[in-house]
Amino acid sequence: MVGGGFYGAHIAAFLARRLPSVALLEREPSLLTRASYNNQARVHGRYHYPRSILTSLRSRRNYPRFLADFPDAIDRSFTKLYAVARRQSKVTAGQFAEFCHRIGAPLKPAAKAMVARFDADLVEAVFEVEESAFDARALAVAVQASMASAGVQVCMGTTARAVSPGGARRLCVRWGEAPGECTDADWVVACTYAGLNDLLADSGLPLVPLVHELTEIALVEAPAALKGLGVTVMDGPFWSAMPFPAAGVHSLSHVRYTPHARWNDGGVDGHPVRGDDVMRRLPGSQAPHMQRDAARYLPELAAARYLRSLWEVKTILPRSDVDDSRPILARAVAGAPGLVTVLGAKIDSVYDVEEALTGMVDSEESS
Amino acid sequence: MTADLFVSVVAPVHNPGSLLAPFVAETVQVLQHAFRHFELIVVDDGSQSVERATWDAILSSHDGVRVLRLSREFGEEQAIAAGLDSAIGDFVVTMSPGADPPALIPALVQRARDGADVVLGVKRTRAGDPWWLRAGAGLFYWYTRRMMRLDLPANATHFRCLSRQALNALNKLRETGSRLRVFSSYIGYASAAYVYDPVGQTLRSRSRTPGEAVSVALAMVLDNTAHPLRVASLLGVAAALLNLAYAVYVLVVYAMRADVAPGWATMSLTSAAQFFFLSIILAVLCEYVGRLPKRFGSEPGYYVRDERSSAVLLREDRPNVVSEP
Repeated sequence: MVGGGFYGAHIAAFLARRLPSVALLEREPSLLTRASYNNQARVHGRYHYPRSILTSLRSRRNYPRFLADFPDAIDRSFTKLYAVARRQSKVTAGQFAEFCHRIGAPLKPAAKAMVARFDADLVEAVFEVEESAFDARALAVAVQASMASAGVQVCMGTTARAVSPGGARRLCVRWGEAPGECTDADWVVACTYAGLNDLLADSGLPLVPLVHELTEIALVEAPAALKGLGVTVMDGPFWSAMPFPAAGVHSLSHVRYTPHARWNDGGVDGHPVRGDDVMRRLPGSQAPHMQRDAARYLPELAAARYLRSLWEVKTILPRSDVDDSRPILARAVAGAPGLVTVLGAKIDSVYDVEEALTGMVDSEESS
Repeated sequence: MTADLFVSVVAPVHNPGSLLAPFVAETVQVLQHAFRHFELIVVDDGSQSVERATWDAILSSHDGVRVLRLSREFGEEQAIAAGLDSAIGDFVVTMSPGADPPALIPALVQRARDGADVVLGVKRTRAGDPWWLRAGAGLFYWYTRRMMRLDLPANATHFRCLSRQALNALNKLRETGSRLRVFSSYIGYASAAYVYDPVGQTLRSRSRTPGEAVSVALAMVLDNTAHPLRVASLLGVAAALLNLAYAVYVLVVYAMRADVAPGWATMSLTSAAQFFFLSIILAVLCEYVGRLPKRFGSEPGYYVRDERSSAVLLREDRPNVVSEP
């Protein structure tokens, strides 16, 4: 397994119960420090994709399972509100309620006192929903424990540089310059998210068409009255403020201001762009933008105190660009039998990857 | 310069042609020098002539620019309203690109920061306007001042600056667009006039659309506008005036001539007076009825086609030190 994010670690433990021995390589000094940590920490209920029924339906099955599997990492204590913007929203309050009703997602009108906190001119309706946040640190502890019990050999601070066919087994993963610094394996699962194509490129393998975004999520100290509250404003260039359990603060993200730049692995103007390079030259923060816009809808947010920003390269498949869905990617790489790429997505979609990998591994292991 | 000040600029354009890119470049440069945080919201009021590539070039070369494209042409006031609806700044400046010089934005904002919640740009002179426009403007300001009790600075333009507080009050009013000029004063915050000289014509081109088949045109007119009603009310006023004149004529004839048939003057006066009042009442009713759909209709004043933001990759950090405006 290349990559020790949530997907990588969880799937490594999963595979270790099916394969004789599994090793995990992670270049950072600890698990779940990159995209698994640098995000909204939202365990998506089914509310977020009113324009993609499929994603919502899949989530219906995964969401409760995730909550049950990681009870210590889940924060369900806060009140979760979804507000529908009155102007320039892509759904109306009626459509949103109808959508939730259709997919069976719990939804009820928010209490009057809650509604009164929003600007009535900008917000059409406010609903109370069931959603939760996860604590990436507690998740790391949980997956570390499950890897230990499954017997996964974990190699931190180890960067997989290239994967090539051959060696004692089907594939050989090189993680250092010296002759012995490589590991032979029958299966290699590349779970490096934004760095997926970097690994493929350095291995001389065909790239997966991916779109990358440099994203910024602001961490703020919310005013006392907001502490137990998570708010999402739908559906268009709007925002979300919700508890970020791993740091005990609130995260603030904005559809318009969280993405800073976008590129694909073809590069910009013919110059290849690597996520690592982008992360080394961060642009100015747009946290003031997020806070000002959010405070228009929920005035008390103006009193939030900005702490710092989480920067990360977010990667999606070009297909989900248009319709908001987040299809997951687990597929074999042509030209390198045994190499599988996995692209992380919503955190509870990891179970879909499990299924896909089970199919691939079992069919070959039994033959 | 206050470190944390955020300024939004709303600039409506319609078929701006080749002047668009220089305008954006100049405005962004001014904003970058004067303010730590800013956004330039270019509202494309249904332009036919701006290619997507033009927007791409603008968005990839300037930071802090947003383009809001409306689905068709809604008029400059609605375009500004759309921009105001999504502006996030502590102070929001509206301007007519081309006419209003971007270099004056910092001074305008400074006026607002000095305590005026609404700063209205005022043209120094109307010398360039045709006589009928000047006369009409004079009448309009006289009317608003005397009849509506609103003290609008004469010759106000779209170049204005609103504080967040004033803008929030403004946004609470329905159909902001068509009443923007009036309600900037109506909401009653401290306001100030900022006198300046526009530098040129606005970037809006007023191209006439070719006429369509009469029946289609009729249907569209009747569905969408109260203008025929307005014409009817004008006719009513005209008829009232004619009846008034006729009444005078009857009185004069009655006084001057001896051979008037008995009862003619009474009958004529009665009917003239009745038609006078009828016409006036009809005209007033027409005006009110014509406003009903606007006041109570729930349709938005504009529709947004799409929205895009600057995506400048790997740019050098914006300097944190900025010069005094």
